[in-house]
Amino acid sequence: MSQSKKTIDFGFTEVPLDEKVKRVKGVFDSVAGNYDIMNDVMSMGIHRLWKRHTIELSGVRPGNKVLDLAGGTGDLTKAFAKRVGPQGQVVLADINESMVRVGRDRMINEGLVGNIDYTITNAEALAFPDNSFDLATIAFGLRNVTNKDKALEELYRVLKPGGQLMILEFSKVTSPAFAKLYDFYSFNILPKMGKVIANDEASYQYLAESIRMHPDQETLKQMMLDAGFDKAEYLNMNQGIVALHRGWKY
Amino acid sequence: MATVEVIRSALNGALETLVNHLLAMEENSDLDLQPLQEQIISLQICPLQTPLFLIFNDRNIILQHHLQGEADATLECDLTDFLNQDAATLQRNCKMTGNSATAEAFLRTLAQIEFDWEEHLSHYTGDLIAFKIGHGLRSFQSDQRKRRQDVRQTVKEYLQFEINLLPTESQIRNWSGKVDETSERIDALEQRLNALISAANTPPAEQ
Repeated sequence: MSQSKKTIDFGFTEVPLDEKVKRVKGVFDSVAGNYDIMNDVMSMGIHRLWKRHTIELSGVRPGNKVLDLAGGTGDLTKAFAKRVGPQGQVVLADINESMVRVGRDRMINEGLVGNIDYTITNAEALAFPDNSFDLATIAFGLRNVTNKDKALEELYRVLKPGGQLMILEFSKVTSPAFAKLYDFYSFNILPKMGKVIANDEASYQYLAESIRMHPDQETLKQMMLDAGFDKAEYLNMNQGIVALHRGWKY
Repeated sequence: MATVEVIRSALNGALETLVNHLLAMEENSDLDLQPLQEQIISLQICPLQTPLFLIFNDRNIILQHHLQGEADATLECDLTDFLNQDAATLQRNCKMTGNSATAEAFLRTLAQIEFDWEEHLSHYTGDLIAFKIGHGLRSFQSDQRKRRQDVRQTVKEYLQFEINLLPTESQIRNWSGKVDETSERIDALEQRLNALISAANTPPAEQ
């Protein structure tokens, strides 16, 4: 972490702290329209399985209040809204207005209204009272946050006692042989796919770089404990390409 | 292990989609999910290892293997009873705990489902192919049923034949009594022999 030097990683480059938010916003403004289709192409559809497993493990029930932070185009929000029912509530929150707009339109088009709220918020300063949510999720969003420790503290604050945080994020591949293959795909194929499908090579180059700069499984688990979570654990999926971290507030 | 769980979640998702698709096809039926709204049923079907939680929401059913807190009602039953779909059989054979009204409403709903899959299939394949597939499946089910009946009948006849060869209870009691009697007579004989041996070994008294 180079936060003591007032700079932070943006992919493999160092940028001033306040610059990262603007640059990340630029990336997601650029990819918002093609975000879903690109996710399907890049992961060969496997991101749906990762998200489905996250939803499954959440154990969410009717009446629950859920925060889907960095909710983007609303994959998790959609599933949670069906589960919590009319008595529950799901808040789709994202720092990027374009993503929230795409997510909101998608939810409305699918007839999911009434128990979903939309808000543009910074993960480092959540605009919710203490002890508000039974479940908070952040899927493929934490690596784009400038001050991750602060975001984790905020997530802990807004969770009710007994509440659970789930972080679904790209992580460190556990098998060295597979890691080489994965690196080749990330830095040679992925940006080219971004160019062909979304006409945006640079944004997808950033996505690949930001994954490598994200804390590994054990580091993130320790960060969660340091943020105040009483229990934290993680589950590797597909050799650690993605890890699901879960933290509980007692 | 994680991969297995991810695959299980995916299969669960596919099953959920299928169940809701079938329910949507039955949209015009008088299937009443209203009593189950916002209710959670924990379904433990033997021999499956883990419970399946069913969350009822509007006209959708959500299926999941994990749940925060407890279900409103829990049902434990055999797969054959569950597939039978007969409300009376299910109520008799299923172990119900929790909110019994919810559990009974679920069983009633389950019994109401009459899905005419052959009719839906005919929209995609045409009447002739749908009928042939349906006829094939019905023949297969009928053969299976007949085979099960044959096996049951053969086992029944075999056991009846064997039962005729077995001794009756009074014969066993009589035989057991004779064994005891023989044992007592052997004991008496043994004591008699010991007494004779003892008498033979005793030197005659001097006159």
